[in-house]
Formats: sequence, structure tokens, C-alpha cells
Amino acid sequence: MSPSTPDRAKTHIPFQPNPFGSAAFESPWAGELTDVPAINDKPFRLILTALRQMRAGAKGTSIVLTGDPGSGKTHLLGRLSRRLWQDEREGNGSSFYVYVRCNASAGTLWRHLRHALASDLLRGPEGSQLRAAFQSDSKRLGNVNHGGVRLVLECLRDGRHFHAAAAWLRGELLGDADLAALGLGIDKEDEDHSRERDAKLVVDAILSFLAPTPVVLCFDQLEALETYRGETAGYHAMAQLISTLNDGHNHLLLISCVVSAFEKRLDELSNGADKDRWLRHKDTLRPIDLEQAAQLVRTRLDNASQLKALRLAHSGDPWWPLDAALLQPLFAETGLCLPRTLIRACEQRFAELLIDEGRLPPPKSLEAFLRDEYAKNLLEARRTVARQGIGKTLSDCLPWLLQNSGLIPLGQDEERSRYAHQAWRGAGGDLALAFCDGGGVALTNQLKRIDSHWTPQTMKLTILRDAGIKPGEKGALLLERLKQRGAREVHPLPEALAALRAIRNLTSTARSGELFLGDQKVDELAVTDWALANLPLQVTELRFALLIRLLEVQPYDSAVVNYHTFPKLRIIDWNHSLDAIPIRSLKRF
Amino acid sequence: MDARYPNGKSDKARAEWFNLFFQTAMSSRKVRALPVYPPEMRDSILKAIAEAPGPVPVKDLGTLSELGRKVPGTHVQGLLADDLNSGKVFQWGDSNKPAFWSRNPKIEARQRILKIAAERVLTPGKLSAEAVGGKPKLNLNVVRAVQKELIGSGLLREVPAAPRSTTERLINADHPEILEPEIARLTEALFAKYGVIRSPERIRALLAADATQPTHEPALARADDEEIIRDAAEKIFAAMNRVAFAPGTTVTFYRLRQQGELADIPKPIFDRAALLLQKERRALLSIHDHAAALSPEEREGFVTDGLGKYYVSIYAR
Repeated sequence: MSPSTPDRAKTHIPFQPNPFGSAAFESPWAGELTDVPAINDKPFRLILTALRQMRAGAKGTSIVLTGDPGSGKTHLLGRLSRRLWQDEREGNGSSFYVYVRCNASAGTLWRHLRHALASDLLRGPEGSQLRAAFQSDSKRLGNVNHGGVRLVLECLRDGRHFHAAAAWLRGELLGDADLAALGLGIDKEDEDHSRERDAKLVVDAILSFLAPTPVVLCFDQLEALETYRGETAGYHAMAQLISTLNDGHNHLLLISCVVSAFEKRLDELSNGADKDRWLRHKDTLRPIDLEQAAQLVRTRLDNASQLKALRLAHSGDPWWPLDAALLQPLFAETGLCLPRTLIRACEQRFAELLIDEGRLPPPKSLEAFLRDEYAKNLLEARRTVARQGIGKTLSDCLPWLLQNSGLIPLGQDEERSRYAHQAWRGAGGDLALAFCDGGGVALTNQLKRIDSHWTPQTMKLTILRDAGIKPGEKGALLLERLKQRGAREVHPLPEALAALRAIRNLTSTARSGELFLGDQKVDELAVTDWALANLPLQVTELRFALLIRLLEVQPYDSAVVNYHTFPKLRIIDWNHSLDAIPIRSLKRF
Repeated sequence: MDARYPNGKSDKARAEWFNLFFQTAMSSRKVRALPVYPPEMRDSILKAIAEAPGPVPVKDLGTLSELGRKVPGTHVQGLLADDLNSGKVFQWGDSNKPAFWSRNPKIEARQRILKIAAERVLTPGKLSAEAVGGKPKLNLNVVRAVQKELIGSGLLREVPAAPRSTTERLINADHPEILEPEIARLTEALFAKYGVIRSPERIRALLAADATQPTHEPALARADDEEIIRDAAEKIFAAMNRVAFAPGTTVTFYRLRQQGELADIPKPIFDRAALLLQKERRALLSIHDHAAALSPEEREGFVTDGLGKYYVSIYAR
């Protein structure tokens, strides 16, 4: 240490949790909130005013919050949740709070909202919010005109078949036995449901059930709607969703948060009416000044229980053990600083002061950091994929893979949307993708729809479905007929889906400016490059199985083809089109 | 019982509603509702303000021939309340004799103070008095507040008192033609105190060496450029306040560029003007932290400092 280093730098404190260790506030439901109300007070008051208006009988509204990454958008939503719970406890009015992280896509938004709405209603500060809803007004069920929702809510109220009822409400696929236990009918052969439309009906019914108590729907990280960089369909779908919610219900306070860098996407929305309904109010979260910074640092330090005794000995210095002078350079350029930048600087400084500084692990390389982050995301993704099914995962995550493989997405087309979920253009032509969820009658109905609307002359078709679900007798016949007409079937492995979901979560986090290696922000480009260079084998196989349809220049009549480009010798049996199934289960060529 | 409306009001909710109603009705300062005026009247008033060469007294606005009738001053102020809050028009004069104009008095005050302080080194009191006195006359409180902001942002620097005075003075530190002689005088006085004499050439060399220190700000080539950039900055600032959803909310450069008065400003000038607003601490720019991943066409729509930083939107501080 140089002689010019201030005395403060020589301070050492016993090893303890770093009070600045959580710079990014991950979810409003997560843990304790160390809060400085003066920070971002103006947008918070805007929200509270809207809520008070609603409680006084006014119609709900929509508020858009913009701000740089780290300006405190998610933190503000956390502050709001605490305030709502406090209002409830103190008898100042009840409300329901729902947090939606927007890592969905244009084609899955309603399902995503259904899942978030049901999940958050089934939890709460003191038991579930749903239980509070029943307790506050037992006649709410009278508002529900959706038979399925009504039956499931009755089950939840009475504590019957809780897990099956909760799963149904979230939109997860259930077996026939569970459906029968809940009293829900099984799809009939002539009924063909769109899962997105079903989700919208369920959301509508749940919101009607909660009316007229205000429901605060917080849509965080809107920029995560881009399935790949620059995709705008998600914003248009979101504008439609907000508009529909706003028109259909009077008791909704819709709060949307977007990083300023993506605000241009909202400016570019083509439907003026939807845009107006979405942007009813707007506010910007600002960086903090030195005074607010001092409050923030002091609050964090005061909340550190193991530091209390030591700080008492330095009661004249609110910054102790940190040094205000060392943080001032953060404010040099504009006189302001983002809260997260300040917290990260404090975290680093605090770590330097801890006595066992020498025992800190060496800094990670970017490669190692991304590998670890991916592994963490993968664990969560395996659970998510198992719950949400193949259709939603592929809708949300496959565009990233295909766009980064050089394919060009094709725009919306009414005729095509009757049988396919996505369509892509490659060097070898156009390819439509149909994602099949579930089995039994639902699968048969979907295959019927594909069979009646798809013509092989317009574009190639690949059907992606879960290999573990066997089609029924009629379904198998339809599938065979479609294959004879030129369609191909691909069975993505669960691990490929989980990997795609994990990559999607990682890129979304980086896009929102929330991924840090030490004090270095890791951007989306770095994550994309790393992920493409380290694609798991299962994803590579899936990509290959999809791309080969656009690369092929002549029809393959032979039963077995050997691909030299693939990392291992593999066999593809065109007759059965089991493209993505690992070859170890097949005969070696 | 749930406290909510309109169905099933609870006692508590009902009591809250009555309280709110009662407080409004019984408030000692009664707020009279503004009579309903056709929207064309407000438009005529706004047009007159926009076309006026200076602040228009509220009395004159109420007697505009286009209105077809006399409108009391308080009603004129009521009609302009939203435009005043959103920064479309600005109040001049004082509360007894209000006047309205499309130009922001703070910007006028800022320009006057910086111009005077670039020509003469004056005490804060004399500087603000001179700034107030120009045409149109400014409110002294506004001038003082702006002067304080300029000192805080470092655009005005305090220099020691003149001989035979004890009051520190203010100088516009961005202008070498006034800064150089002042520093030379101070250095000379300091050296003389210790019996050291330095020739004017040595002092100039010292200042020149200081001036050659690298700076991250793109140097302005000519005084003309500075004038053009400042003018562009004013236009950006005014447009930003006009199109912002609410005061202080972000406006994307994409949207600003669609404004007629900004569409023709060359990009380098536009960028430097936006950066000037941040430097002068009048506005903040939102950074796009992965602009490198975007296409050159997309980056073209952002403001850049030329050193790798790209900004996507702007908002008033």
C-alpha cells in the first residue's frame, strides 16, 4: 500500500456477508428489500396515484417505466409489492400483485401471462393471494363464466386436488385422469383448441373472478420479448395484449418496464390505438445524486447486522467503513450515478476491506463465468420445460437458434398460421414448423388441421413433437399420411429444449444489462457468441435436423444417409424421419 | 368486506370517499372551475404566444381580437396551465404581472450570464443584475437560480476578488480570451508575493501547456460552429420538452429526429448539440450499451460521442 493511500484504505473488518452483495434485484418476491424511498420517488408516486384513483372507483390504466439498466425498475416493482402488502395489513385497501418477467414471445404471451397470474395468485406474503380473495368475498365465483376455471377455483378453495388444480390454472398439461378428477371434460374429437386462445379465456376468467379489487400486473423486462436481437413481433403482440386487457377489465393497473435502449421499439409500434392504450402514462427512472447515494450506502451499511457494533465506534462517520471520497469519481461526468453502479463499486470496496481478502477465489474468465451461469440456468430450465411443454419452449426459444443459423423469419400469414407456428426461409426454400403439444384427441385435432390446410407445393413442413407421447390410432394414421405427402417429423430431446430455454434466459438477462462478471457488464453479443460456440450436442442435432430440410437440393429416396459434416457418424432414417433421436439407439451404419 | 368500488362499499371505503369529498368541498382555498371555452380559443392564444417577438402580458392575451370576447387573466392562465406544465409555454414577469412566451426564461438567463461572464469578470451580484436588465427583462430569482446552477456545473468559475475588494468574482471558464489574462494576473501577483518574477511569455507558455492537455470533448473548430451547435441544442431542448410524455421522461432520438425543426440538422451537429446539453447538465442521455452489435444503419439513428459511446434517448434533468 502506497504512503499516499488514505488511512481509510487500511481499515480491515472481520469476514461477513457483503451488504452490497445483491446489486441486481432479481424478483419482487425474492427476500428482503433494502429500500431508500427517496430514490425514484416520482414514478412510485405516479403508480400510487393511479392505484388510489382505482380504489376511489376510476378505471385502471397503463404506465410505462423506462430507465437505464440498473436504474432500479425491478426494485421499484419490489417496493410496490411491499407497499401493497402494507396497505392490505393496515386496512388501506386490498389489491392483487402479479409479476411477469417477459421472457416469452409473440405467439405465447397469453400462456405466459396465464402462468404468471396463476403462479402469483397461489403465493403471497401471508399464504396465497387466492385464499385472501376467497376470504374477502366468497361470492366472487359468481363473476366467473368459464366452466373450467370455475371448477378449478372451487377445487382450490376447498383444498381438493390442489396440485392438479394449480397445474391446470397455470396452463400445464394434465393427464386424462387428473382432468377427470378435477371434473373437467376431455377434448372431443370435433373440438380444436388453440392453446393461446384457451389461455386468453382463462386469464379473462381469472381477472373477472378477482374484480373489482385492483389487480396490479407488472410486466418487467419487456426487451426480453425479442426472441432474437431486433425481433419486433413481441412488442406488437404485447401492445395488443395490453389493449385487450385494458378494454376488457376496469380493475387492472398495468405497469410495463423497459430498458431505455429499447424504447424505440415502442415508438415504432404501427397500431396507434394499441400504442395509446399502452402508453397512457410514462415516467423515467433517473440516476441518483450524491445525497441519495449517501442514503443508499448508509441504509445498506445500517442493515448489515454484523457491522453494527463496529459502526457504533465510528458513529460520526455514516460512510464507515467505506470512504465517500473514493466513490465521488462515479459522479464526475454528470453529477449523477446509476444505483447499481454505485452498489457494485461499494461491493468491490467492501470486499477489499474484508480481512480474509486473500482467500477470495481468483477472478473467473468470461468463458468460465458463462459456463457457470449457463449451468445455473439449465437447472431451472429443465424444470420449466417439463412444466410448460414443447410448444411454448420452441415458440420462445427456437427463433434464436434458427436466426443465428442464417435463416430468415417469414412474416405473419393468415393461411399459414392455420397449420404452422413459425416459418423460415433458407437457401433451399421455405420451411414451416408446427409444434405439437400433448397427445390423444388434442394431437389428432391439430394433425387434422395441418392436413387440411397445408399444401406441400407452398412450403416444406416439419412437425416437432414429443417422442414420448404416442398418437392415438387416428393420430398415427394422420401423421403417416402427412409424412407421405412430404412432411417430416422431428422429436426434440427434453435436454435440447432445456438448453434452448437456458440460453434464452441468459441472453435476455444480458440484454437487460443484468449480467455481470465482477464489475464488467457481459453483453448479449458475448453470450450469443459463447452459446453458439458451445451448443450442446442435443441442440446441434436439433438444428441439423431442421436445417437439413432447407439445405437439401434433391430428394433422398434412400433409406439411410451418412452425413460427414456431423460431429459423429450418424444415420438418418428418412422413412421414419427420426432425425433428432441419438443414433446410439439405432443400428450403426 | 373488501374496500372497493363501485359494488359493495365497505364502511371504511365510504368514510374515505366522504373525507375526500368533504375536504375538497370545505377547503378554505376554493378552486373555482374554469368556464368551458372552445378549444380554438386556447389555440389562438398559443399561436399568439408562439409568434410573439417577446413575452406577451396575460392582459394582452385576454383581449386578442381572435378570441371574439374578453377573457379574464386568471382564465387565460387556467387555459395555459397544461401547456405551462408540459413546457410548451413559459411564464415570464412576476406573479403580479405574468406574461407568457414560447422561450424558456431559464435558457435566456443562462445565455445572458455566460455571455456577460465571457466578456467581464464580475461579482455574482453585478453579474445577475446585468443579466436581469437586458431585454426582455428577466426575473431576478430566476437569474440567481440559474447562476447557482452554472457555478455548480463548473461553467462559471469563482476567481479571487479584485484588488481592494473582498467579494469573489465569476468568470466563464470556457473562454480563453478572458481566462488567460485573469490567470496571468493572478499568477503574477502570487509570484510577486514570493519575490519571483515571471515574464508574460513564461506565464503564457504555462497556460498554453495547460491548454494542450488532452481532452475527451471534441474541440470546437470555430466560434461559428459553437453558435450553430448551441442553437441546435436549444432546438433539441425545446423539442424534447414539447414531445416528452411528461416533464422529465425519455424521448428517443428516433422520435426527436422526426420533428420538423430538427430533421435538417446535420448529424455531427445534432450529436454535439445533444452532448452539450448533457455537459451543461440540462439533460441526461440514455446509453445503448450494446450498440456495437447493431447494424450501421441502426447506429446512425443514435447520438454518438465518437469514442464508442452511443446514446438512444434524452430527458430533462
